[in-house]
Amino acid sequence: MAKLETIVREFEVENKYGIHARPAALLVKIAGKFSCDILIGKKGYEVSAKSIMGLLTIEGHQGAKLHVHAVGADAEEAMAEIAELFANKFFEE
Amino acid sequence: MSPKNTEPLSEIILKGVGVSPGVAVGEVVLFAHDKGASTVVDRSVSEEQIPLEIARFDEALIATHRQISEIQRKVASMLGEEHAGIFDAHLLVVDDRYFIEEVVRELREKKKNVESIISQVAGRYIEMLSKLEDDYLRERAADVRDVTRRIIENLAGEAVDRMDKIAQPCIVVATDFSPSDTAGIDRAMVHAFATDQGSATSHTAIMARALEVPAVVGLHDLTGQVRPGETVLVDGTRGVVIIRPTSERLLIYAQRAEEHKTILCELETLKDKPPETTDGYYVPIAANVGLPSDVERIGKYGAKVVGLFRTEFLFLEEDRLPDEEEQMQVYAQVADQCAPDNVVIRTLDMGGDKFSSALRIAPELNPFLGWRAIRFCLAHPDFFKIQLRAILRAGAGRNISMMYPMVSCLGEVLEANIILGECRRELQEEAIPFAENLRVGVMIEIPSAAITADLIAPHVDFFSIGTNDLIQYTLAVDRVNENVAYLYTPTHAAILKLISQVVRAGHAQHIPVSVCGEMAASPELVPLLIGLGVDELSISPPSVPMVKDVIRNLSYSDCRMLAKEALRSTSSAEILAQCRELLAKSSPEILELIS
Repeated sequence: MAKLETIVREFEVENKYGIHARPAALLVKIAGKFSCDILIGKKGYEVSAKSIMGLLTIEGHQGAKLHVHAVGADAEEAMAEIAELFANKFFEE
Repeated sequence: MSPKNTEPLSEIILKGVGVSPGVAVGEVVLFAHDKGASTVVDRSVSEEQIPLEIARFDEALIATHRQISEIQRKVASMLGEEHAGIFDAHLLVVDDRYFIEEVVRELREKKKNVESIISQVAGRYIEMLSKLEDDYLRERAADVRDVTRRIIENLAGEAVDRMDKIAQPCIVVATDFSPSDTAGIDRAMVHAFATDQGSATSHTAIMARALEVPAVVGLHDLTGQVRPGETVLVDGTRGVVIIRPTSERLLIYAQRAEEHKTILCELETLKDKPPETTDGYYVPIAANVGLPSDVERIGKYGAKVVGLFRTEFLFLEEDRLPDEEEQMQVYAQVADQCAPDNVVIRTLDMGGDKFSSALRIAPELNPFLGWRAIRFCLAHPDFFKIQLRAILRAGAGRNISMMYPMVSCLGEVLEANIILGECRRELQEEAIPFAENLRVGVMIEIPSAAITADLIAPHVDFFSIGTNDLIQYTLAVDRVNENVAYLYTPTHAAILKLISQVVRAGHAQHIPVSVCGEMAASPELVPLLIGLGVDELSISPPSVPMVKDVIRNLSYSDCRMLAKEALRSTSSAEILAQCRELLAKSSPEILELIS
């Protein structure tokens, strides 16, 4: 059995309108490609990055700092893609 | 996600109120007039219905996914890909495993219909979103609301919203029907009705009897327990609905149907016999009719006279009112069909539950106590005159009478008669033939009119007691509210006293008094009404043979005695028991048939 990898990183939301519906959709699509569990949010309130309904409820406005928590065999690849998404401001601007 | 291939669901028997006799088996069509309404019905489901609810949810998700993809494709081709992006998010909501699992989990826990669970779960998300500080993020609530509303609409989307859309033989199931719902009905397609709400005197019941289709009402949660296309059996005689009946059950019913046919054939032989008691007392039976096409069928049941011709059907069409000529044609045709016997035309009884969009009557808080019938007509004399002139003209050379509904005091009668007088004068000036001696009566259906019947009697030619409304107004019981329907007791001492008072007031002025409510079609109450001195019974045509059979086995002196005792009795249950006792003596087979 593959050993469970746990990766935690923090990202800042840089795009102007925050994680609204379209960025959230992108995040869900990427998270959905991986088998690892991915949680995202702030201290005390984290939701699955694979659930758009959950994602919409996090306070992901511009400038917000969000923890991403990936647990599973492909956590590293997942985190890399998510990092790219944040770095590219969710391809919005 | 959902166990679609669950084991076959078992037969379910639901008990309601049988309001129109007969048995029908067929496939369910769900009817919902408020499709897509923002209010979601909250109802409980049983353990065994849970897979059914999950399957409904599953199907609604698939349908929603398809619709959103379609919209996305259209928007992309018309406005460009960048505008279609938002629908990616909407599709992800429909596919959101976490959301779906949350709904299913709560469905199992709370055992509620999936619509109410979805709106609860979505409601929580929406509430969370609305608490976000960022304005832009807060607007995402609209996306969630949009998608969940679409899912809920797809759940209800299996229902039809108009009767004239029904194109195959079926059994129509609904929460309840409004009069306009039942307007476009095709008798050949609708084999039975079954509703969650309603009682023996609600509009659905009256309509079903007029259409002669079996109906059961007051089934509480039928709409939650059947799915479109499922087989149900409606037994309007016993007030039972059976969902997914077994083949044994269907066989038993087939045998019963044969027996029933035999009894009806026997009653058929009464067609040409007079409604006369064993001691020679004659009680004319007239027919209540709601559609002109019903008139040709009354003879088949052994009725000749039309004691109540409702005119509301003329006013049910949207955005259009019938003109004088059109109305006149209808009234004349009906009178010709009944000639030489009489037809009593009731002037418009709209308002209340009989709402018409063409008349633009604003919804009222309390429509049964509101602006309807004669009140509405007197407030719109020009509109009222169209109908009065049509009736007067149709009455030329024909046997037509007319009555005003919902009269609460003498003043209204006098006012209506003044307008009628104006119509007469106008027609005379225009040299158009009309009925010079049209007989004019009033419906006695409001307690104040019953109590002051002696004041009204000198100004009219007959009384017709509308017991349905008289009972509901006297006892302050909404006949459609199933929680209080048990208080709707025709044998209440107050009702009997009022009927007796109206009869005496009428007879003192030598005018006849008839009863045109459901009470007159009830075999056990017929002897009581006869004993109270009622001169004529006006009932739905299919009830005529049975009531005639009851009358022909009664003796008038027994009826008088029954009424005398009833007026002294202190208990409505006791009065009913005495009525049954008399019927058990005179027509035991009828008592058996109805109980």
